[in-house]
Amino acid sequence: MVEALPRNGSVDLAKAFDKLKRSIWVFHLNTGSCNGCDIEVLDVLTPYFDVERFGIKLVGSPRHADLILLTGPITIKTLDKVVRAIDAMPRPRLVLALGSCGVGGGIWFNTYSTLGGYPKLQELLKSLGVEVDKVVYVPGCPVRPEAIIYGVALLLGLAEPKVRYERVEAVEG
Amino acid sequence: MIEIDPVKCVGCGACVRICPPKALTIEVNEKETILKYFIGRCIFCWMCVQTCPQKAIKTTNKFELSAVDVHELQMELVHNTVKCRVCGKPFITSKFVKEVGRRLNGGFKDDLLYVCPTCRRKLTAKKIATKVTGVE
Ligand code: SF4
Ligand code: SF4
Ligand code: SF4
Repeated sequence: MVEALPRNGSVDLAKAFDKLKRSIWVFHLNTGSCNGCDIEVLDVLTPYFDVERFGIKLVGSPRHADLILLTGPITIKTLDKVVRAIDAMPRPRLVLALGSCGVGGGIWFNTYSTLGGYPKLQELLKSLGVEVDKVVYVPGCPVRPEAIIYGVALLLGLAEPKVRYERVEAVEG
Repeated sequence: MIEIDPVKCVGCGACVRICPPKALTIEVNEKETILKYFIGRCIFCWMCVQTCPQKAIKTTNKFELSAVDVHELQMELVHNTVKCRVCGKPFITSKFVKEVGRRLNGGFKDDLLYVCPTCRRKLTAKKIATKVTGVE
């Protein structure tokens, strides 16, 4: 397990968020996914959906990224690298947990070799002192390209969430 | 995502057993039986739709399901719990009891219908024993 690196200097987060409205750079982080979601991420980045017209650009290092596209259920094997990659990001750190794996562990939510989704990772990051500023959960298996773009829009506050927690009483018939 | 019809669903739990990632779970307590659907883990395989004996689950083509909080992705359907008349353990929902009664067409009297499987087995064994031996 890696330890969180010491950080110096404070960040004006509100100001940084303001700057983030227009163009965000993304880093694609596969944490042991089946590649279904990764193909969809590629779909978003390639000419059919072409998100570069919105300024969303894929970068090769987490040090350049504003947003992490996290796919997969976070296997124990990748955990170390995942924590280090997220730790390497500059603030504000944004995460898009993609697919049913990223959100809740998917089919592998309770297996021995995975952490079981981003919420568990976030607890771990918190205990290591790595702050993540905003997370958006995007379900789907694999997640649809449209859903990814919508997720980014939600993250930037350009769209409203369409699902809410619901509690319904069964109707006696 | 899937939509569960609160009118048709009886809370039998067949969908819970079939769901591969256990996105559907059922929680039974003294008062209510809660059928929970966690969209975040659903893989949209439609196994539950095929399995539901009441045809209560409908497929929808909603896919823009992003949320900022993972708890927003939870849906709950609340049923009443029926307790066993003999041992008092909560076992199924009131709608399920009615549905079983309807399907059996009066084959089960109320005294067996509202009794949990374990107690029902004992009751039946006792009945047979009484019949065979003639002693209570
Ligand atoms: S959510 Fe589905 S498609 Fe995506 S990585 Fe997991 S199993 Fe694969
Ligand atoms: S299988 Fe159908 S009737 Fe049974 S609990 Fe699930 S939705 Fe309800
Ligand atoms: S569609 Fe599949 S994964 Fe989703 S609730 Fe139904 S059985 Fe479970």
